[in-house]
Amino acid sequence: MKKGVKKMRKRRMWKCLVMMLSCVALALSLGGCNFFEEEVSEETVHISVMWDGLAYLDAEDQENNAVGNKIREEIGVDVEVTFINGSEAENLTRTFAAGENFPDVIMCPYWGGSDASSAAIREAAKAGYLLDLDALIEEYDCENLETAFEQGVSSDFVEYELGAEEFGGKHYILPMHTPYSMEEAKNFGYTVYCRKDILEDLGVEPESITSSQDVYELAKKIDAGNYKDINGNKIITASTWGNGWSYECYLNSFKKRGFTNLVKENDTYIWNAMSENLDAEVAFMNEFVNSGLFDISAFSQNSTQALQKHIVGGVGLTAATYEHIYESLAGNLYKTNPEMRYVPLGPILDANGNAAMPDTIQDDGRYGFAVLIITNECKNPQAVMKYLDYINSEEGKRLVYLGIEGEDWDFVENEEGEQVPQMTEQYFAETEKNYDYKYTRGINSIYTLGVSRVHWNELSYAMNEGGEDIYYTQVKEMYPVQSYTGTRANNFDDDYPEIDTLRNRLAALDYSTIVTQMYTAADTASALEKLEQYREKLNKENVLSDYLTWISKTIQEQEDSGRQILY
Amino acid sequence: MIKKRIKKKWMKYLFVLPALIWFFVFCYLPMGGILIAFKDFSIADGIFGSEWSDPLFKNFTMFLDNPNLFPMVRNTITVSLLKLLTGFPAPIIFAIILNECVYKRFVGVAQIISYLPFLVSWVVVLAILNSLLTPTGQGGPLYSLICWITGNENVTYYLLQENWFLPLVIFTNIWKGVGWSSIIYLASMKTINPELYEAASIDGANRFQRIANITLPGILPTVCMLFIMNLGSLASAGYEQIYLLQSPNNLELSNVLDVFIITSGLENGNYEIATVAGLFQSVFALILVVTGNTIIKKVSENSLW
Repeated sequence: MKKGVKKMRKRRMWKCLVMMLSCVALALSLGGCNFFEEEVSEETVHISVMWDGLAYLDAEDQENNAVGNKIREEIGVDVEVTFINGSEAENLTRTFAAGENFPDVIMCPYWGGSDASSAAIREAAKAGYLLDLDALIEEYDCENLETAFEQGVSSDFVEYELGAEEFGGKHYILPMHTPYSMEEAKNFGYTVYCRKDILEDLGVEPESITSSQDVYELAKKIDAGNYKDINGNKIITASTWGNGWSYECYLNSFKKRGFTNLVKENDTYIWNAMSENLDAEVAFMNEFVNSGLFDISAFSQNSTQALQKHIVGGVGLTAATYEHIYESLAGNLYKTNPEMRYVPLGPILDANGNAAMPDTIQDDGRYGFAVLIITNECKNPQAVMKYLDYINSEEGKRLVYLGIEGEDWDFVENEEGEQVPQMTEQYFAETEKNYDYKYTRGINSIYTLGVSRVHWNELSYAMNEGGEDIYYTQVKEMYPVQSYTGTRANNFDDDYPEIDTLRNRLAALDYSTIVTQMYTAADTASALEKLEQYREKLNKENVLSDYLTWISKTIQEQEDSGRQILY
Repeated sequence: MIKKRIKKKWMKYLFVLPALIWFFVFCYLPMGGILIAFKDFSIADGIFGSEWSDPLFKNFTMFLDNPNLFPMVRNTITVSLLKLLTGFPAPIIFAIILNECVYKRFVGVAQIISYLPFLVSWVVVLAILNSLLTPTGQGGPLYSLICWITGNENVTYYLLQENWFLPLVIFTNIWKGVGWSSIIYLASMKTINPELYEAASIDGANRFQRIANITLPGILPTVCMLFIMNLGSLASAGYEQIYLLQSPNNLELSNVLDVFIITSGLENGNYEIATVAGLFQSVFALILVVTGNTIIKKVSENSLW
């Protein structure tokens, strides 16, 4: 009898458990189907960031931080940001291919041309999925955004991209983080960097490294020096950040820095992959890799793996932008081992003998940048425009980049006697204790998404104690931004009758992947053999030669009509 | 007649219904997407609204124009063939071993351990492998073991080496799937009449003779059926595993159709070419399954239809 009751109880218990689990599963499923929509304030701006690796910009508490609270107090708008990792092109394509359920506002890259992210945005605009920003600016009287589509943007980008035919004279893309003028253009500070203590120990002056070969010789010395990381393990002599970014700094001596894939050799336009310089570059890099000096895993490591190598001082030579290296290491390695700071090398001259690095050769404005787009499913365009107008005012920009006046920053007199913003002593003291302090305050974080033009020099001065960081100044002086006026030759590509065939060929033979295959080949002979195979495949049935003939003729015609062509 | 049968066994048909709905929604409805292969697809106009390609087979020509097509097809077949040749018999052998094992507790533990890798994703499996084989820091345990055995003193990234690619594909494929795939063979072995084993023992058959003459013929129909179904996978090397093991160093072997479809379709937004590649793969798989079924039907009496 007792046994029977016990059994029944046990069975009931199981039934209850199964019922409970079923209820939980059902609730979760319904939640996933959006049956229970989250209630949000009508004055909330939702931004989806489709830019891989930007999540570090997140404020520590999106709902409660000094900058966010101030924005709420000033204009009554809340900001919610979601970071979507993975390929930007893939995320954008999938979002718009779904045809519905778009995020309110999307922040993503727009590089122009045949780039997949840009193509997805153009398709979305054509399909009517994006809102016309001109109309919104007019409707909500956003005077701070009126010049955003031209100021700081390269004139041919304005003509061929922002004003593309598909857009029918409307503006759907809000350029972000452009400079006010080319004098204020942001210098990203790309170059090869070396750990300071190693350089000092070797007695090598950073400015004595002026070619890729010099970098190679320095790498040999570092390897022979048997230097250690903070854990006592032998360091990797030369590496990069995620996915090999930016190994091309090591190869600067072989690069003819320009605007397109065309290079001019003996008065003839050729595709850069056909240039003799590439033979030398492949041979050099292959030797660099096979000698064990260059980290072979750099090409396939993700950003987290790269950070793990750098955070312990485990890399002798590295390459990326100044800001990326500084932001990644200031709160950890630079704090515990300041002697291991990375200092810029160079100027390492390019193949034209020019002190140029990626992004230092620019048009009369930025060509390709981060953008903000507003979809037709945006729940409250008024709140979005109110917010964008505010953060694009002088007051708003200082708030989102520097924080609250009097608490985080004050006006001070600089060396030229001008009144400029400078972070307060308290801010620097707090940052010293916790490098992420700015994100707890919401400074220079998610609220900068949507700022169209920025006073980069002012910011750089304000954010560093005692003015701009000495190494940033150094790298800017090594590789100053060079501005040219003209039209990029590839803007005419759409007029080429066989452009689809050419683009299909280029997409099928992804250069960036194939070239790393050459760098990592077993020996130089097989690397060069791969290069020849690539060239043959690229020009199979004269697909490339025909284009080069056409583009050379087009450039000539354009130049004859008095147009300056950039290539 | 059919109506009567359904009326009589309606509950059994009801059980089949969700599976049929699943197949219809997820396998037959998406087939409409094949139209993309014949269109200049635009997300604005959708599958049916997009313009037809001019000429109609333009996307097929572009796909065939890809200079990497032959190496891609070759790699796909190589990887899938190796996976079939090693991954197909492995669970049969594993199931036979478990079936012959007399320590039931050990069998239970071995089964649980062998099922576990199947339940975790490829990302996790390869992250574990990465940790085992990493040369950074003190070096992963498997890395140290290999270096100790081979006497290698140089820093070597085995995961990035071209000659390690195929062995790692085979190893991880077996490791992940052997336990789970063995379930169906174990179930099949349980249906064999135990009296056959007893009679064979009395007649003096040893363990291997019993396996060869009772166990294997007993599970042969299941083996044939699964083999025919697996033949279709020869057209596909698997996306996740290859994508995650791919690096510039092993691209000559790891550049397969499955990865190409994902990268050209989802990453580059070139849906037309990706659909053509997918269609190419499906037709190839269908031909393999039909041919395999016909051959097996001729040599044995087991076949899918």
